[in-house]
Amino acid sequence: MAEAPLPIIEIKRVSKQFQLQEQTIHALSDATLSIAKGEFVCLIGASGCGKSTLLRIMAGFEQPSAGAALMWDKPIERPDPGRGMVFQDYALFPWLSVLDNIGFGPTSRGLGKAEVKATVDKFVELVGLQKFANAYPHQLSGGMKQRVAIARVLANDAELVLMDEPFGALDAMTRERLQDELLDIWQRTKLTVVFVTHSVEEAIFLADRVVVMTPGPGRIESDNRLDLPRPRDVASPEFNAVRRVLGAKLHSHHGKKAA
Amino acid sequence: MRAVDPKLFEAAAMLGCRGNAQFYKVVLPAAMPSIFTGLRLGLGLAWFVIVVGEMTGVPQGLGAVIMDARTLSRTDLVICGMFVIGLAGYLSDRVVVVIGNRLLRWSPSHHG
Repeated sequence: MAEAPLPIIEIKRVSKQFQLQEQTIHALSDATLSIAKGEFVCLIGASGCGKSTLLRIMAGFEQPSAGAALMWDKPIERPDPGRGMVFQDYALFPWLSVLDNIGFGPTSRGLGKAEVKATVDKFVELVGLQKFANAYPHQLSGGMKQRVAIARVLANDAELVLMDEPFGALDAMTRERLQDELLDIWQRTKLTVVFVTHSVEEAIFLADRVVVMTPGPGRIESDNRLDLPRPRDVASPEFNAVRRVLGAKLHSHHGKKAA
Repeated sequence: MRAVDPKLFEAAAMLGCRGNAQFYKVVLPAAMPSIFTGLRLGLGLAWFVIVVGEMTGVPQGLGAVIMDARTLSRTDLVICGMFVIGLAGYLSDRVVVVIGNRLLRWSPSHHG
């Protein structure tokens, strides 16, 4: 059998503890996960299960207390334009217009003006915000802001897009639209996406693989590959069958706690 | 500076902006609204202090004119002096506000 290709991300026995006053919080315990290029992986779990911590370690915002986090076999030591993060609360620069927010990364990398403009124009169009190119973030709706945040990461040639509950603050209709658009972008660009959510339905709709995490201490409960055909129909019986199985896994720690 | 949303530093870092560049591209623009509020307050206070100063020890200036006019019972000059002080203060404040509004178009809470 041929050797498995090098994974883009490898998390090896990673643990993370925080000091909170006198207490030590075990945010993440002994997590192991490897992600292949082009995969769409959802991390799902209740609050406090360490899914955001794991994502932040992948981004390079946090260092593991134990274990190793690798990208292309090299340790992740600091944030890098190759790994773009989309935050739940957008984290756009309020003093920059849509164009300048998207151009922030390319400018920081030292590209020339013409190149920055070409890149920005391409991604403004990709997320359909041409009409709002000169608007400031406070003039945009939540969905538009998140589109800008996605474009900002893509404009920076990110190979890996890390999304921390990006659609959590949006209304249901906008969320569905953005999910469709994200899948469309993912399929066209062959990005690798790691997506944190607490919605089972969202995870099953989007992901190739759903990693279920449980709290106290945060750990990986199971890693589930989904073989549902795309585009997925949230109302189909197959979809619901998967949802039932994953839902049970998600709540499995309740039983253990009582024991 | 501590008031800048830490997420913005993370966003800048992940987009490839590190170290000193973060100061010019994140801290400075984020501090602009506070800088302009400070500028306006400072301008008002400076105006007030300078007029009081002129009234008390120096032979020149608007404050001195008012004090001289007072000793000479020139009420018209006193009122005129007051009016000029008010007008000049108002105009200099407007200049700061107009510049501020132009630079802070992006800020929803800053339209003086």
